[in-house]
Amino acid sequence: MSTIIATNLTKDYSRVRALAGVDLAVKEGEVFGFLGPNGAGKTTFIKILLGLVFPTAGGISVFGSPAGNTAARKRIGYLPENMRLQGFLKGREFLDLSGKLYGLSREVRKERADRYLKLLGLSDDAHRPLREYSKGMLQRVGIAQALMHNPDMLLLDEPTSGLDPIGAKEIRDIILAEKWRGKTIFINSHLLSEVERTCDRVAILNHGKLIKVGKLDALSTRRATILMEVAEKSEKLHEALARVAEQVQVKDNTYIITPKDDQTMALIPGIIVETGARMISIREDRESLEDIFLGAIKQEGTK
Amino acid sequence: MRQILAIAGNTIKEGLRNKMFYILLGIALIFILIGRGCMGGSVSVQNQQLSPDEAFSLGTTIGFFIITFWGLTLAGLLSMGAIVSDVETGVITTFISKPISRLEYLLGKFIGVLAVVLINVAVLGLGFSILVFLKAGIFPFALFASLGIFVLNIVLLISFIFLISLVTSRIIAMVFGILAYVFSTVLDIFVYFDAAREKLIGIPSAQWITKILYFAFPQWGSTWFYSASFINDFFSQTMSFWPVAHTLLYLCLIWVSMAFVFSRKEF
Repeated sequence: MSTIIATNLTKDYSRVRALAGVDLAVKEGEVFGFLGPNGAGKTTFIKILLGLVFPTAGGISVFGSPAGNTAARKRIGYLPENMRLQGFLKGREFLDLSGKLYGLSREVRKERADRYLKLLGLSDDAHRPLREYSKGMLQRVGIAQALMHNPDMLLLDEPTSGLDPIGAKEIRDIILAEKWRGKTIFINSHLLSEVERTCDRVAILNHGKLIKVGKLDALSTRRATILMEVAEKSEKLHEALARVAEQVQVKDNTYIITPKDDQTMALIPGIIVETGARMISIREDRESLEDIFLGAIKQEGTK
Repeated sequence: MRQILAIAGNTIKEGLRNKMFYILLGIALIFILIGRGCMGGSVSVQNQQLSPDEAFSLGTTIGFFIITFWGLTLAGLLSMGAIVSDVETGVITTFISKPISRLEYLLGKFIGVLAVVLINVAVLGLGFSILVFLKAGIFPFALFASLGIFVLNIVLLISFIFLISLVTSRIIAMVFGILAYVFSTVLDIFVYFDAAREKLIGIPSAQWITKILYFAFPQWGSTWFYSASFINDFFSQTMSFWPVAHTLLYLCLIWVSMAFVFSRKEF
C-alpha cells in the first residue's frame, strides 16, 4: 500500500517551475530518500505534501487523503529544514506545545517529552530557552517534536543538517528504530552518505523533474564487483574464480571479480579453501549513491 | 478548540515574556499616577470651578483616555508582528504543518494578543480605580463598563492590523492601523459633535463625503465616544448603540477577508 501518491504534480512559481509533472509513490513502511541539488524542488514537494504550498496542477495524496488535509497531517511528523523556533520558549515547553497541537493529553505529553528529551540528550537543557540552544540542539528538539505524537510517517527535511558525527549517528539510529517499528520515513537530503546508509529506495529530482526512482542496486549503471586481496596470487586460484565469475582481472595481489550472479560471493570461501589461498581481505565494490547521483544529474544536464 | 487555546496560550506567553509589555505598562502607570491629581479637591476649567461630581467625571475620563491610549498602543505593537514574525522566521510552518486549520491558527493568535492587551488594560484599570478610591473615596465602577465597551475597539484594531499585515508588511500594517484609527476618530467628531459639524455647513459635498466615509469606515471614534458616555455626560448626549453594531459588522467582514486571504497564502 502506498503512503504517498503524487500524480503529475506540478508547481509553478512566478518565474520558475519548481515541480514538473512528478509521479511518485512511496510505500508504507519504507525509508525513502528524496535527493536533488539545491533548487531541485525537494522542499516544494514536502510543502505541498503538508498543505503549506498549493500545486499548480496534478495531485498528491497522503494516507489516501488529499495533501494538507488535517486528518493526514495528524499522522505525519515533520522536521523542517533549518528548524526555526520561538526563542522565548523552553525546550520542554516547545515539546508540550507540539503535543497540545496534536491533541495529546497532559500525561502523554509529559511522558513523551521526558522520553525524547532523554533519548536525544536534552534532559539537562529542557528548562533553557530555545534561543540559547546550539544548531545541533535545535535540530534534536525538532526531531523530538516530530516524534511526539508517534506518527505513522516521518517527513524529515535535512535531518542531520548541523549535527556533529555523533549527533548524526543518533538521528540515524532513531530513523532506523522508527523504520523497524513499521513507520514510513521520507528523507529529503543532499547528504548522500546518510541517505545511502538509511534508505530502502531513493528518487533523484533535478529542475523539478524526477529523473530516477528505485532501489540503490537498480539505480546503478555499473555492476558491482568483488575485490579480493590475497597474500600470493596463483594460476589455480585464478582458474577457480573464473569458473564462478563472469570476468576476473588481477591487479597486484588483488583479484577484481565481476560476479556471474548473486551466488558468486557465496562460492568464494569454498574456492579459497579448495585452492589453499591466503586471503587478506574481501569486499564488494559497488557504485556509490554519490556516483549514481552525479551521473544522473550530469546525464540530465547533457539532454 | 484545544488547538486554538494552545496557540493562544503560546501567544500570551510570548507577549508576557516580551519586555515591551512591561515598559508600556510602566509608562502607563506613571501617566495614571500623574492623572490622579485631577481627582477630588478643587478643579477649575476656564476659570470655572467644577463641582465634585464634575471633577470626578473629568478625572475618570482622563484615566479612561490614558488606559485606552496605552491599551491601543500595545494592541498595535503586538498585533503588527504576531503573524508576520512567524511568517518571516518560518516558525509558522512548525504550527500549520500540524493538524490545525489556518483559521484556528489565526483565532489562536488573535485570542492570545487580545488576552495580553486585556491583562494590560485590567491592570491599568484596577490601578487607576484604587488610586481614585484612595483620593476621592469612590470606586469608579462605571469605568469598567466603559472599558468593557472599549474592548470592541481593541478587538477591531487587532483584527484590522492582522488583515493588513497579511497582505503588506508589519510596519505598513501598524502605520495604516494608526492612521485609520485617527482618521475614523476625526471623522466621527464631525458626525457627532455640533461644534465640528457646523464647520461643514455650507459645503454639501463635504457633508456627503463625511456621511459616506462614516458608514464605510470602521467607527473607532464612535465606539470610543459611546464607551466614554458611561463615565462622562458630555458624550452620552450624542451617542447611541449604533457604533457597536457597526463595529461588530465590520469585524465579521474583516474576519471573512482574513480567513480568505490566509487560506490562499503559501509558506
